[in-house]
Amino acid sequence: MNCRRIDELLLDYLYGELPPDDTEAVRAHLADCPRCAEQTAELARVRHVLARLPEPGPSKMTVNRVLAQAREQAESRGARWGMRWWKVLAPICLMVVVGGLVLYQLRSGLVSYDMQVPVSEKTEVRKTVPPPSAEERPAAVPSTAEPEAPAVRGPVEDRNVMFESADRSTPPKAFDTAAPLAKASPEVLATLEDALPPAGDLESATVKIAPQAKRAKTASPPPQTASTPEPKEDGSVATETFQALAAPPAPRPVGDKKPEAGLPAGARRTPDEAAPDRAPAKMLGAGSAAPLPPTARPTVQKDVPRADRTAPDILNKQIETVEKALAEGRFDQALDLSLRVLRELPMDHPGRPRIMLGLAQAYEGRGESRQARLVYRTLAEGTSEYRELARRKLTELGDD
Amino acid sequence: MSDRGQKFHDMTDEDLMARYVRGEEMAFEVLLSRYRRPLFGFLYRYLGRRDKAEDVFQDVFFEVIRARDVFRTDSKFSYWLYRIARNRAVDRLRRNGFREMDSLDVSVDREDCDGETRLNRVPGSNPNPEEETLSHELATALTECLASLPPEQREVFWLKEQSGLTFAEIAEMTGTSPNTVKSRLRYALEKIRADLAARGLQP
Repeated sequence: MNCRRIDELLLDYLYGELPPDDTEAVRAHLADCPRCAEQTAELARVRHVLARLPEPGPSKMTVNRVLAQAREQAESRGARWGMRWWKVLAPICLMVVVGGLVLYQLRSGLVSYDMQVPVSEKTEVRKTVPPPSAEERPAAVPSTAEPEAPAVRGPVEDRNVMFESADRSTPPKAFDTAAPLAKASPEVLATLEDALPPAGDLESATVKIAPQAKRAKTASPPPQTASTPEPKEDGSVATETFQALAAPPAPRPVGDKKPEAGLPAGARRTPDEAAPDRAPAKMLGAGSAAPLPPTARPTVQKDVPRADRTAPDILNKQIETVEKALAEGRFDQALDLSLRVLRELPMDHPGRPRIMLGLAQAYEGRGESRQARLVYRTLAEGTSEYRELARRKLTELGDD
Repeated sequence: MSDRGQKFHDMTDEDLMARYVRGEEMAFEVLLSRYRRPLFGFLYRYLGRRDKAEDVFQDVFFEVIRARDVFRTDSKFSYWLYRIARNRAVDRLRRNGFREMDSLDVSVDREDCDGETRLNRVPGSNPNPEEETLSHELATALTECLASLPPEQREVFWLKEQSGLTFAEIAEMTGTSPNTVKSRLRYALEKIRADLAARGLQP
């Protein structure tokens, strides 16, 4: 390594950037070359003396400002990370909370919905109804069942089976009906369907009835009260009626003179049931579109033996509601309730003619004589006890 | 020093920066303690005035804080830091021009000067406590010599002396070649030596 090369490497040598081999080579040359060694030593001394200059630092105020800024940014970074996590977690938490609420509401709704068909509850309430004494049974009432006859109860799902096994075999005298009428009803109802309120009303009414059932269970009210709730203005009692109708009526020993059409042989009316075939028509203001005064309408509650206040009993309450609505001029409600009951009632149910009579009167009260005539005509073509009444009404209404 | 503090002091600059990016404030404090005097020394010598050096110093670290997400931990922190500082200083110098440098003697450094020198950072020198204090005459002469250096020589001289960056890194930072950097540095050293000799002073 010559002096020219040493001069090229002098800065690298002074600042320690030479590789070890070159560093050794430079040192070897400097050891042998006084001129290069002196030149290198002078520059090294300049560096050394400059390094001895006091090294200034920033003021404490500047340092503190920088530190404060760093701290603030670090905290905001932490906060931002927190915000990021929150941005991720917030929707999840929201979904969990909302989902939980929805599930809770759903479950609550299901429970509430179940409570409107509280089979065991209704059975329990009915079981609390004591059998009426013989004195309580009015002779004019088409009472049907023997007090001793155990009420056949069943859940909604068993409705058809129960009607076949018990109800059909022993139809209640009060709901004596005819098969032709029952078969004609769907067509009649179809023509009147537009008069029905939206289906949602039924659901709302169903929901409204649930608390009543709950109270009946929890408060253990007197049996009569529990089994005969006051009909509601909004027609919510209709739902209760449907539920009650779901349970078949108690089998009744019948001693009627002639078996009703569609009824099994042996179905007979009891002697005290024979006379008042007109009673329901009278209750509904038979022979006149104008409702009877309340005093002229014996309540079913008094007419029906307590032991039989099952489906027919509830249906009678429904009829009470209809006739009350008719008496008070609430024809819309009477119409709505009648149609609802008819839609839910089995086609061969013995209570249909009675409800149809109320329906016809409701139409009549609303001034819808065409629909009224249609219903009356159906009744007139049937074999129920309302046939003659319906024919008279058709004559009054000028039906051809 | 706590174990946690010692842990940070053993970390590289890049690890500290990564820690600070994750929100660990102490990592930044350690970085600041490492570069507080060298960086301010460069700015002070290069700009010639304490107030400007203070302003730029603060701006540089604010920029480091602000742009910490941009910093790549696989790059060299000191290079990144001095590049920011050098660019800011150049801008400031272009805007205001170089003025008469404050006296660099001990009295100038007021409350922030605790007599610390960078003698121990000069390779090949053997710090001797007896030599650490320059005579007032020599310190004044050196200050005047440094102030008289051309900006490009003063820039590379103090960058090299204060930052410890390699010639290649300084060349890249200043947009020149390593040989140009070494040449400028060589001229600066030769000039200081000549000025001191002219004043009858021996380094």
